[in-house]
Amino acid sequence: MRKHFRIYSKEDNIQTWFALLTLALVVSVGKIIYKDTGDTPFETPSLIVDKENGINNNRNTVYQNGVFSAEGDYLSPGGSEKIIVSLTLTNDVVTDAQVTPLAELPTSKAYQNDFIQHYKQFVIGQNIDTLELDKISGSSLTPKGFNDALKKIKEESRI
Amino acid sequence: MQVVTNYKFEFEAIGTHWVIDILDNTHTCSKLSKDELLRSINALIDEFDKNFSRFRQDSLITQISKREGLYMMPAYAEPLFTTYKQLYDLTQGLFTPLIGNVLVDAGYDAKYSFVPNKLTTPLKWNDTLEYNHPELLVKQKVVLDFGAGGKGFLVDLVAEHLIKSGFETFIVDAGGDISYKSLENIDLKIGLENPKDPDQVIGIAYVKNASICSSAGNRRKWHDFHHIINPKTLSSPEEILCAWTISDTTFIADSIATCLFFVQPDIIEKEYDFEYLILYSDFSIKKSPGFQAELFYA
Repeated sequence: MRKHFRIYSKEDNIQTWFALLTLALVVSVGKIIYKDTGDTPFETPSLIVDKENGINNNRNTVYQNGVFSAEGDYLSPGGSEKIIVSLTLTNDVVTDAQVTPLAELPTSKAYQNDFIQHYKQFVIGQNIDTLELDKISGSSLTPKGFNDALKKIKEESRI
Repeated sequence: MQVVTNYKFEFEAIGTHWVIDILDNTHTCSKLSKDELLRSINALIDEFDKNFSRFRQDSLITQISKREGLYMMPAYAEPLFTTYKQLYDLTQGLFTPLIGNVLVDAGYDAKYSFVPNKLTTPLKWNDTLEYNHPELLVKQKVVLDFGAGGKGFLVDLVAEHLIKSGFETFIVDAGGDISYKSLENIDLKIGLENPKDPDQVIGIAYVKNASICSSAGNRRKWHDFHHIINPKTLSSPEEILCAWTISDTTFIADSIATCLFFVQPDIIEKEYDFEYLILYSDFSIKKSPGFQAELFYA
C-alpha cells in the first residue's frame, strides 16, 4: 500500500514532519479498517484478518498486521524532496521502522541522513542456538588469571 | 594437482582464546607442514607478547616502565606507533598508549591486584615519547598499554604470515577480533554478542574479506571500572555497551572500536575507512549505512 502525502515543511522540521507522516499513515490504515467493519466504534472489532498471511487474528487489535509504506513529499527551501517510511505493525505495535532517503539536493541528503542517524532503533538478544553462525564477535573472554584474582579479592574482602 | 588444506588450530595466547581456520583449495602446496605452521604462529605471537605485554616481567614495556632511555623497537612495530600517534592526535589524546599508568593505578596492574588508588591524568605523548623508527626515545618512565589495538595488530601479523606461507583462505579469530580472507566471495555470518548475555546475539554481521572487531566493557570489570578508561574523565564510559567495527585490517578495526567509546565516528572517518555499529546502554543502536548486518530489532 502506498499513498502520497503532500506535507510542507522546512528542512529543520523533519522530525515534526516524520511524526505527522507516521500519524497520517497510522490514521489512514485505521480508516481502511473502519471502512471494512462499517463505521463501528473503536472498541468492537473482534476478528481482524492478518494482512500478512490470511490467518484470522483473534486479538482485539485496532490495526491490521503487516508492512505499510508511504512515500512522503515535502517542500524544502531548495525544492521538492521525497522520503519513504515503512512501518511493520504486529498486534498494534510498531515492531520495525525503516526510513529510506530519496533526497537529491546535497543539503537535503545531509538532513535526511542526519535524521536517519539519530532516529533511535532498539535491539534485543536472540539465543545463539536458534541461529546458524560462523563466528561470534564480542569482548574477549577474560583470562583465567584475571578471574582468579578477582575471585580471591572478593573472598578476602568478605567479613 | 588440486591441494586442499583444512586446518583448525585452537590455543590460548596473550590472555585470550585463538581459533585459526585455514581452508585452501589451490594448486600450490604450502611451504610448511601443519606442525611447522602451528609452531611458527605461536613463535610469532610469543615474540610480540615478549615485547608489548605489560604483564610480563621480561618485556620491553616493563623495562620502559622502570627507566627512561633510548629503546630499539622491532621492525614490524613501525605501523603500531605511527597509527597510535595518528589516532592520538585525531582524538586529542583520548586514545592513548600512555593510559597504562591509569590502568595500573585503577588496580588493573600486572599482578591483578584490583585495588584502586588515586588516578592522575596520563602524560602527554610529546612530553614522553619520540618515535623515529626503529628508535623510541622514552623521556620519562611510563607504563605503556597497547591493549586497544595491539591484539588486532597481532592478528594482522598472523594473517600476513599465513599469506607468506602460501595460504589464501582463512579466518584468524583472537577472542572475537577476526580477520577473514577468502578468494571466493562468500560472506562470513558473525553473531554480534549481547554484552548483557553471552548466550545471545543482537544481530548477525555479514563480512567478506575484511576484519571485524568489538570493544566492550562487560567482561573485564572491577570496582567502578572496566578496562576502557577515559583519560580525561578518569572513569569508564557507561553509556556505550559495545562497539563493533569492520575495516580492511584488524588493527584499524580494533583501535577504532575503542576510539568510538570516546569520540563520535565522524571524527575518525576523516582519516580512516571503516563501518561501525554502536550499542548503547539502553539497547538503542547507531550504525554506519555500510555496516552489513541483520539486526534483531525490539
